[in-house]
Amino acid sequence: MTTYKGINGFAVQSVATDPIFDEGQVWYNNVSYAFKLATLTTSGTWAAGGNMNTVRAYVTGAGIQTAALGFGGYTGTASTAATEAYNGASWTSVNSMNTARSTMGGTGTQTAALGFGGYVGPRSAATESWNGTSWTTVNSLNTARHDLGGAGIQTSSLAFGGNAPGTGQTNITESWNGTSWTTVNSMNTARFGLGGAGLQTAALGFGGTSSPGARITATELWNGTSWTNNPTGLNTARTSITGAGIQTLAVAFGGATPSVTGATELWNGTSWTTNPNSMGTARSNIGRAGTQAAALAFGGVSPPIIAATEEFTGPGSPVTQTITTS
Amino acid sequence: MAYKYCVAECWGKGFITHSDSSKFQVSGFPGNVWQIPADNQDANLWVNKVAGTFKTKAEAQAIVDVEITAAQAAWDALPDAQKQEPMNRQRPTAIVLE
Repeated sequence: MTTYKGINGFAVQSVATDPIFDEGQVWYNNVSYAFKLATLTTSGTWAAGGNMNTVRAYVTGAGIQTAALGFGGYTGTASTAATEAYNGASWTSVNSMNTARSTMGGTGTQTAALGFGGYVGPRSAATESWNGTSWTTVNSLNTARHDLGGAGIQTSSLAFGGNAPGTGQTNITESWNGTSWTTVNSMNTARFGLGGAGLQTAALGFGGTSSPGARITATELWNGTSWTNNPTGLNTARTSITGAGIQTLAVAFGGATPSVTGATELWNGTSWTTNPNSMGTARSNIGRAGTQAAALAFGGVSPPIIAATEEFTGPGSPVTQTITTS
Repeated sequence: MAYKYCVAECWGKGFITHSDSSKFQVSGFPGNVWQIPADNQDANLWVNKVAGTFKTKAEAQAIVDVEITAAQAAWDALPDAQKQEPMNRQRPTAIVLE
C-alpha cells in the first residue's frame, strides 16, 4: 500500500497547534482531530470594509488597502471636496480639496497623493497635491477632462483618456513630472470611463466608452513612450470600471455593462481572467487603492450611491485547508 | 443555480469576511437585499451572523423595485441640464433578481 511516509520519506506529524505556514505541508491536528494542508489560494475574495463617512460615487482614490485616501466625488446632489483616510478598518474625515469635483484621476499614496481633472460643472483641468495634511493647487492639465485614467505616484504620474471638449472621448495622454503636465503620445483608442493601473513609465489602460453606448474591452500598455494594443481585452466589456495594481499584475472590478456589475478580473501582464468571486455589491464609478494582492474599493453607484467599502485579497494567499474524505 | 434572499444592513468591516467569500458568493442589491446560494450551510450561518431576515424572491424583488423606482423618479425629476452631467448620464435601470 502506498503511504505518505513511503512517498515523502517521513510520516505526517501529529501536533496540537497548527504549525507556521509552509506551503505543501501536511499535518494532523490531534486537538481538532483533522488532517490539514497548507496551501495557497487560487482565486481572490472580497470582504466588507468600513463604510465611508460621506456617501458618494465618482470618487477618486490613492494609497494601499490598509492606508488609503478617498477624495472628491458626487453625493447624489452635488460634487464634494470631502477627503477621507482609511486605516484598514475605518474612514476618518481629513481636510477637503480646494475644488469640489467628481470623476477625477488620482495617483499616489495616503500621505502624498495627486488629484487631476474631473467635473466641476464644466470639465476641469485643475490639479491638486496632497501632503498628508492638506491639498495645494498646482499646475493644471493641458486638456480639461473627466472620467480619465491615472497611473503613477505624486511626483511622476500619467493621465490618459477621458471625456474632453469636442468629441467627448479622448485619447490624449499627459505626463506629470512633479511640477507640470506635458502632452505625450496618445492612446490608440479614445475613450472615457476607463480603468488605469501602474506607473508613469509602465501603465495599463482598459475598458471604457469609445463612442456613445459603446462599452469596450480593449486593453493598452504604456511603456513610457507609447501605447500598444494588447491582443486580448477584458472578458466583460464595461465602462466606469476601476482597477488597481501594476502593469504586470492588476485587478479590474465593477463598472457598467450598462447594468452595474461586480465582476472582477485578474491581469497577469498578458491577459485577463475572470475571478470566481465577484464584489459583494455590484457597482460602478468606484474609488480604488492598492494592488492585485490587496485592493480596496469604496463608494460607487449600485444604484443608489453608496458608502460601502470592500477589500480584495488576491490569489496566492496562505490558507490552511482541512482534508476530508468527500 | 438556486438562490435565497435576506435583508441585512451592512455595518462595515466583518459583515462579509474573506472566509465567507471563499465558501459562497454573497451579492448585494439595493434595499439591503442580499442574495446567497440556496442549500448552503455556510450561507445560512452567514445570514444568522449578520442578523438577516430571510425573504422570498418575490419579497426581495419588491424591496429592490421600491429602491429602483425611487432612484428613477429622482432621475426623472432632474432638470434636463443636470441629466447631461456625467454623474447623471444614465437613468437607473431595473434589476431582476435571478
